[in-house]
Amino acid sequence: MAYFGNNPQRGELQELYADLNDLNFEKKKEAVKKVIAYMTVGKDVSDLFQSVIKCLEFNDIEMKKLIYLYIVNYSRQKPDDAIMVIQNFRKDVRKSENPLVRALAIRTFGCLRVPKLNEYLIEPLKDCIQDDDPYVRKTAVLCVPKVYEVSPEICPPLLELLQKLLEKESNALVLANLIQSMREIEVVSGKQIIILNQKIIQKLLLAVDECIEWGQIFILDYLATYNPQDSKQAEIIIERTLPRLSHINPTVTFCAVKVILKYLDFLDNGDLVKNLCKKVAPSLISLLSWNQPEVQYTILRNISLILQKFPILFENDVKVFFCSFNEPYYIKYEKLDIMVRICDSKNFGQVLNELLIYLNEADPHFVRKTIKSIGKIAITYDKALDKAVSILVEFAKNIQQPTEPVQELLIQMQLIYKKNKQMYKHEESLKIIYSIIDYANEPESKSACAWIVGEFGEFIPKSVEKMKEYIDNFQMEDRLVQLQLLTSAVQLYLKYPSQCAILIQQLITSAKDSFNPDVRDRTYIYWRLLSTDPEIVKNLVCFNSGTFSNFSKDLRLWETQDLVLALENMGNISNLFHKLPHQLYKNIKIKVNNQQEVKIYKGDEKLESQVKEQQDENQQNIQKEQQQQQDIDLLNFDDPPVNNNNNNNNNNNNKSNKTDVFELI
Amino acid sequence: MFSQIFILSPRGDTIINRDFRSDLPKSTPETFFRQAKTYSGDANPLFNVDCIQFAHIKRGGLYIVGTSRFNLQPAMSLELLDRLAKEIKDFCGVINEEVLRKNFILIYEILDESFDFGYPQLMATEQIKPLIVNEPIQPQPDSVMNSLRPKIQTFNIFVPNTMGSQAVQRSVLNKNQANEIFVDIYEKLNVLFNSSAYVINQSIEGCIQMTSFLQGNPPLKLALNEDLQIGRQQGQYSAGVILDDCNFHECVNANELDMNKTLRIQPPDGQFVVMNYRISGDYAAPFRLFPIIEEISSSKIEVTIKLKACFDAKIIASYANVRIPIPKQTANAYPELVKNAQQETAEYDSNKKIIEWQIKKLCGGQERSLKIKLTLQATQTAHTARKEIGPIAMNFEIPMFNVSRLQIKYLRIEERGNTTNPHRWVRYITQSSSYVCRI
Repeated sequence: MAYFGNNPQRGELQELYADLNDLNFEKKKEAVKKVIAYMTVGKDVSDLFQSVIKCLEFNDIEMKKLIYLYIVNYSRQKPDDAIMVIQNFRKDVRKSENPLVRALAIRTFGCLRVPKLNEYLIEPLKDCIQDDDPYVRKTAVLCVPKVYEVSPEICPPLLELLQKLLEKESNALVLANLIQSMREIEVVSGKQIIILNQKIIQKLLLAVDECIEWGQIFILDYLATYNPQDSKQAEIIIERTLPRLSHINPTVTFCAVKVILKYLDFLDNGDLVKNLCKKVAPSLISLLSWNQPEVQYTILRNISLILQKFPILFENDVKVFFCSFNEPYYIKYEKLDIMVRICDSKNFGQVLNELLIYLNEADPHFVRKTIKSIGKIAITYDKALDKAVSILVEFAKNIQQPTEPVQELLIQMQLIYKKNKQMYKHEESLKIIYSIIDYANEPESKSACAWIVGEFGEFIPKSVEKMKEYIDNFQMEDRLVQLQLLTSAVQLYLKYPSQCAILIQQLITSAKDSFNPDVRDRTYIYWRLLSTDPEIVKNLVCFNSGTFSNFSKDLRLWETQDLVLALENMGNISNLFHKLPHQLYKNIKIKVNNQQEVKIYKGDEKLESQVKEQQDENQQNIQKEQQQQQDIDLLNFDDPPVNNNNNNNNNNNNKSNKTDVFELI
Repeated sequence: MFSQIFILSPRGDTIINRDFRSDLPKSTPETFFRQAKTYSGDANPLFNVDCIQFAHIKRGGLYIVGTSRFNLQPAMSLELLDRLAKEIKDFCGVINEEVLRKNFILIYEILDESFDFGYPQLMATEQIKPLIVNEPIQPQPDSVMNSLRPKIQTFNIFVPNTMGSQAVQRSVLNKNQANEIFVDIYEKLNVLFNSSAYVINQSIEGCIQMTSFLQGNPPLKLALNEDLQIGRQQGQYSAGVILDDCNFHECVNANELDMNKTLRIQPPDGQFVVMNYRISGDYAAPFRLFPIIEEISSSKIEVTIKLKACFDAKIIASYANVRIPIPKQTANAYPELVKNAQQETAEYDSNKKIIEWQIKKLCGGQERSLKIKLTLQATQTAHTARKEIGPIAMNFEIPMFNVSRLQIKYLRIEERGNTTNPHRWVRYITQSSSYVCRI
């Protein structure tokens, strides 16, 4: 414990200084150790630089290691003094018989990071790259990016050497380091440094087998960025990578998955692709069962990405993603998300049955997510709609308190009704949902309730009273709720003109002076519209259905052109955030990919449903566009559309009714 | 890749600080510690502050932290830190503040061999052993610090609670050690029953783990069951042991596994996992739970749970704990054991609304039961409350027993030189991972 004393006082430094210059070797060594201890805790011992490096003259490797540690730390503060060390380094590199000493010297040399010292480094570094001992070579190879970062201008001869080494190197570990350091220079410089040919690829593939695990990761990771020339080559690479799937290190396995999935695109043979998918899936599943939850989480995050390109992958394995009770919640949430993605026409029953059980969980937040997932399934898969709604309605029956899940339930029911208005008939869902409407206490759920009251006013008993209740509290509500209330109240007014007349008047009075411009604007628009022609309003606020853009789009994480880049970064931290690397890190430049077409791998049945979905989407888009067209027309006050006039004549009664109302204001 | 690696004490003091790339400010340890302290409980293993990525693990109360400004692989960075911790443990015997402070020079050496420019290099204890010159300094066994030493965590997901192993807490550098090897077969069970004791979902996660103190690291040959089969075809049933998937440590040559079910192993020093395996097929669950719920009146519920140990009578589970969540609106609960119950306790935790039923020892073939009388608060009726009972979860450990029937037929040392025949210790342990019965 003696090493970690208080601040080095002047006296202490002097003592150290004396010890360092002592003739006794052991005493010197102890002093150097003390210096390193001070350095570790962040105390400034740079004043001792000269005395410390004087100790280098001893040929003791432990002493050398200590002093090098010191030099690396302080070389940038004392570049002039550091020059004194150069001779020692060169001597070590050139003369030492011991490869350990040579490697140690070159490693430390690279860490100096002083531009003017680097020129002295080039020659010894060249020697080391061509050293006979692989340990020295692997260290020297990694030294090049260190130098490149500080003084790139002196590096071209080194890069040539690296490329030469790439062609003839046979040691797997050196190869792995070589690839990694050249890749790093590629990233820093933005130029292509690595030139591959058939022979080198062959060699890399062989090296994967022999290398230590981290080297395997470097090589596989690099291969995942390479585009093979033809199907044959892709096949060879995949074949060579397959054994890595059963590696014990999750990162190796994951890199292998990455390589295989990438190269599938280049295969001609469809059956082979299917077979390979069958091999990859179990490995991914195994990754989930053997590892600690943190690793599982990263795998799960990436699986949701992989699924976008390979929906086929886990067709029969949905059970794997069922949550077990003792998992951390961050795992459970990811699993929920994946279950929704895997859900298809075959297994939706199984998935929904499982989700049904999660509704009994104690944690309200988890139950809320479950409800959201059920809602998503209902909206995305038409076949699952009935069952999903039944589950939600059943859940609603037992609600007695305004809990968090209730809020989500109301929101999801609103979405379901929006997608398919006829669902209100299903098992009296509307009646049951209406009975819990008072439990809404979040802006989103309140606005969902307001929407339901407005949209289904004619099917709900006492809907006008309910609306009055809402409007009485109008000023206290969130902006979101206020906006929805405006629309819903107008809807209701159109359904029950006489009963709502006073109500709407009250609403407009309190809303027209709102501080919020959105609310004010909407109030004035409705006011103006109502006083001109209620029929237009009817077209505007009461649609039948189909006003939503496609819901299944929500399940897509990335635009397809970004998918390629995202898959290339599979396993990296950017994917953990579901972001692209340059969105997360400012220092990363991206190579712009040509907008290539992205293959999506689907099962046969999925393909059909997808096509149908796409048609639906198109239809909906068209509808939406029409709707927008209408909206624009309707908002155009100066120049009312032609059909307006026609309507006017037909609905005189209505109009007179309404003008009365507004005269009252 | 990593820019820096540092090790901090529980109070935030820097014990080790190695800067590989000098591209980050020197104050990162403080930044890390400040951020880590903002979490209630343990900090997230990964977080990002101002574009600096922090990855950390906690061992023996110490933070082992890696920083980076690159798009690194999170799984890999945590694995790397864990390996580093393992190396340090192999060299020093234990990881705690005192040992690390005493051995800081040794740890710098280990760090320098393990990482270069932040890239992982040699990270296996036996690979770097010849490159290290420092000897570990063992802490004084009777010092006060030592008795206060925090319990050492292992990274392995299998943590046997009852059976201590002699293999832990020993430095691989200790020359005068017994020539012996420990082989453990761990299996963790995932089972999900529905209320009628029908199995909905089940799987086994298993691993064969070795701790080797063999002198000279001789190659080993490990033979497994002859009816072993790897990979499951859809809808296939077979009497043998079928592993859905498995993976192996680097030192294992599995080429002969398909042919004659043997693994060739070049064992490294210390602890390593030979293989992991996963089985999703049907197997006989060692415990069965039969819950019965009766509504006595509108405010009273009686829950009876029967637990049956369905394994050989010679085998004894070292403990079996059952956890029963009961309704939130419970006013009172009385768990009742059968008369003359021995080595059994049942307690009601009124805060968490959970009944804990603990059985110390349970022989195969035995049956136990527990009756719980619940009284509800007036606000809820028994009919709605019964839905809130469950799911019942079990925790247990059964030594010398494994469900998959995967067995080690023999473990041979291939080139036995002049050394004496080393001791070989084999044990089987079965544990619950998620053993749940829904009601």
